Amino acid sequence: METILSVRDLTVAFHTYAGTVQAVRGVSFDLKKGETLAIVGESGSGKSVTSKAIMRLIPNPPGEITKGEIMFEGRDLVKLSDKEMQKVRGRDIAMIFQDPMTSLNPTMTIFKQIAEGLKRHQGLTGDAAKKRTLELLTLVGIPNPEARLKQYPHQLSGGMRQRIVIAIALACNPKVLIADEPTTALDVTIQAQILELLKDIQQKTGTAIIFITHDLGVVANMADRVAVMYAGKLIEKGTVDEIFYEPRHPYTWGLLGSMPRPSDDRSQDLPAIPGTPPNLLHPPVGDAFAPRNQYAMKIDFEKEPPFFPITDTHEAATWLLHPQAPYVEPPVAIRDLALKYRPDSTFAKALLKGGLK
Amino acid sequence: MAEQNSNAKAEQFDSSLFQPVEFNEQAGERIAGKSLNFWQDAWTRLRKNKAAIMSLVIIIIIALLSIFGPMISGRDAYTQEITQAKLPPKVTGLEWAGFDGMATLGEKPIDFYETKQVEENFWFGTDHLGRDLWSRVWEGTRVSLFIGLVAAIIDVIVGVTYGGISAYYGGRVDNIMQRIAEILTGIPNLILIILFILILEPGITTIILAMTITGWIGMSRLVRGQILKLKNQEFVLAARTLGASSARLVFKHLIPNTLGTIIISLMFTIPGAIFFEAFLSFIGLGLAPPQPSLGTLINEGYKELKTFPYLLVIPSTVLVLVMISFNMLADGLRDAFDPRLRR
Amino acid sequence: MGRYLAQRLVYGVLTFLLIASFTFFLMDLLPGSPFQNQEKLSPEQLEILRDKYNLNDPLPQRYAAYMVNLVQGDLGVSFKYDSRPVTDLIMERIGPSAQLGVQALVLGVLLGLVLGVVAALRHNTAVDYGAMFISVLGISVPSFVFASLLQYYIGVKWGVLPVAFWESPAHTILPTISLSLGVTASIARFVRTEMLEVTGQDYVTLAKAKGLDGQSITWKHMVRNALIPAITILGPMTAALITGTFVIEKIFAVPGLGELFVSSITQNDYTVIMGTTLFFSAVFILMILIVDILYGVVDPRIRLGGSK
Repeated sequence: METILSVRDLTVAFHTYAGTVQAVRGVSFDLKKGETLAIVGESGSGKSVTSKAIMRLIPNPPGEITKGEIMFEGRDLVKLSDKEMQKVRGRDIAMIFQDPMTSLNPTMTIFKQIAEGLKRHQGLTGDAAKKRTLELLTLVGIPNPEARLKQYPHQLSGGMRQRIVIAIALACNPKVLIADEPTTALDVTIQAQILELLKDIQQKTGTAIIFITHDLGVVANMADRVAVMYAGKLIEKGTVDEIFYEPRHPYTWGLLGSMPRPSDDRSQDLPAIPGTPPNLLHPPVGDAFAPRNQYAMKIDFEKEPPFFPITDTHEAATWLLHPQAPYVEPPVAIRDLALKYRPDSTFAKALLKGGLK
Repeated sequence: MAEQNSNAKAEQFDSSLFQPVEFNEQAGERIAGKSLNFWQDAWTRLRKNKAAIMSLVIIIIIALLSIFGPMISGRDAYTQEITQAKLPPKVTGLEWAGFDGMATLGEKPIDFYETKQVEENFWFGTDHLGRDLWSRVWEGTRVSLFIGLVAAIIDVIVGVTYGGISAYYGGRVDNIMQRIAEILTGIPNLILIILFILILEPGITTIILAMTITGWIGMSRLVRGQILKLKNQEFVLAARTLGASSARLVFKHLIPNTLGTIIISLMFTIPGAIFFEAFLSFIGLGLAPPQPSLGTLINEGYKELKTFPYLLVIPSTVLVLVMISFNMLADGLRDAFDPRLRR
Repeated sequence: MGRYLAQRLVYGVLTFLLIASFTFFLMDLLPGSPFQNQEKLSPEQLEILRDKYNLNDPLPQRYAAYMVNLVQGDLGVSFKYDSRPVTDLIMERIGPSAQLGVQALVLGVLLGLVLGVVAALRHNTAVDYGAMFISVLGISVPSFVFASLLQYYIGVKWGVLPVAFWESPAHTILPTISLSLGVTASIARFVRTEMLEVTGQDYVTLAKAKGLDGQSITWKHMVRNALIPAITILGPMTAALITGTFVIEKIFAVPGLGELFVSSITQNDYTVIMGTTLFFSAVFILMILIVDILYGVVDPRIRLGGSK
């Protein structure tokens, strides 16, 4: 399938009182037309910064894209002027934010907030803008859209507000939609509705989605492909099946292991990844995950692992994939998952034989 | 998704590098970078604010001069010497900066030291009664600083108590206390101050009392707001759940977290009080002569403005310097304490 | 909104009555008599005068009479200005003060707005530092010092503008500038802080994400939201303006209310002091009320009710 957005070696730094924080350290990935790519990581891993960097919304100062390129339709977004970038934002690439309670302007009516983008990019005003706004409100499932036009954000519930934010993002039929933890601030029942809505919209409009989340559970239902991020770097990329049933990076194992499953034995504690992510003021040498990695080898503390390809669609940055690495046995949870759902995969077979290489 | 950097697979390493490392659960828990407590953090940031630090230095210098200034010149601030009245400032070596003992009476500048046959130099000149302005300015500065400081401290004590009680007890107590404060803020404070000064004996105590009558309200509101906000925050709730006593809650959690707000407000109150003293003195409601304050000196100077501008300019400059320094320092402190700017 | 307004109104009236009573009893405690300065009045003459102004009645009776008169808009007669009604004196003086106050407020608010918005948009640049230095200066330099210097240099030394009195529009320039300095400075600081606060808000990021240009983001999303809280300082601003008129009118010999107040204090003219005090308080209370209403009108969260 055709690649629509291609990020190469993206590096973002924040200059702070304490020093320079390397929030994103050389991230590369491709986004294909109409697919959903999930970027998963814990808070502070740089996933949100990555998404804001694509939109060039990193506040400068203190933030700055120091390296890399973001290719979109043959143009490098990093090099665009502010004026050119304004034309991309909202029209070609749109964004949904985390907290619907704060992302709408409290003193502007719903209609004006949606119509702003329509006027800016499509020159729609008056009745045309109103018609399109009503269409959008219906699309995002807002009941009684006519009555909402004149309302202010504080008159709507959190879930409704997030639908408005989505409507704003969809206003100009963007080719890429970046959803930055769009359900994190919402109640669980509302979360499911919003996710359903996003899937539905993607089917109707065919827009590609970059879905940023810390919640692997959400990913399973939403994404085609998953990229796992840790300490400002991507560490494993693959299709959603590959990440869930044939994961290769110990951090991915940790993430999957700490995800509760209905079938779990309740008497056992849910495993957690010990320790905390590294301070990106002073990024560690070698593999950033090494201090928290029970499979760590000497080389992890000395050299940064490159990406080792596993299949055409799957690769992981861990020295465990190096030919010289010893056999290791992944945690029981990973083994169970693979054996239960993908018993025929080479991964599962290798596990049965006693170890991974 | 074949990336360019996948060609590393062929690289060979020393096999010892692939030895497993003994896993230490604690290793990952270590906190990189040294952690600063609230005060250290604030101080680090304040230190980087050049304007605030310079203001602090100026305040210290002015405070020292207000204590030792009269001693330096060796002249008393109250001794009148009519033969030496209205001498413009003169400093040997600073003649070019206007400290030349000259003043314009009628057509052209005259050296007053020559006409009055005065040998010694008066750095800031003398006033209409021949009193040394240098000594009077510093004496006056001391009075102004004293008034500002005491008024601000009283404001803080009353305001913190009132706001603290109101917020801590909440409910009806809070409701009643806030209604009272609300009505009090509806009164223009200056008018209240003036009325109080009219019925009490004029003097330093009266001015301080009059200013604190409404001055504490602002502080109490800040403290109340801050404590209300903190009271419902998780760490206070957590402490309460863990069985912390009221006293511990107040002294260990609530007060330290409001201290920043209190200090900032204190720093803004001091110049406010100094201004009010000067203002009252200027409209003739301040300190009774011969007691100098920056306000009374400016008032006296204003009357002689046309011929002897130094009488106005010198105390005004000191007043403005004090005000600017306190305001800039307060600004700096606010930036340093504001956790939203913490990065 | 209606309930909110009614509540505000009740508070305003309550505050005013409280001030009125308070002023009355304070005046009663005042040392000195309004007739002391009159040369050599015999005790009999004094007694006649006191009788004439009902000063011999018992306190509660005088208080009742005073409050009844107050409600009817009668503030009594001046002891000094040939028994003229205080209300007349105030009416006579209100013109120059109102003109001065409004001119200074308009100038200060406009200048302050521009300075504050520009400083915030150019945060941490020379423009920002310059604007903030001007505003620190404006807050730190007392209006009477600034006014004296303006009067001396522009009026006396260079003779560009009239030194004093209130005769032509040119005469109003220096007093207006002097009085507006503090307003400019406070508004500039406040607006800048609010603007910076708004800059980090999610809805501003969203506005950027829509692809809006800098102008629209600044005006439609930032300035509007930053100005709403700025309305609240118009209340304290009025108090500061009233304070300012006391000294500015004294310095520039403006025949206004502030000058009347200050001179009546030095002359122990009780009724005039009371009358002007009440008048100033009423203006202040009214201004706070207006600010509350304005806030409600501009902020849909208050206008339409609802949370947050």
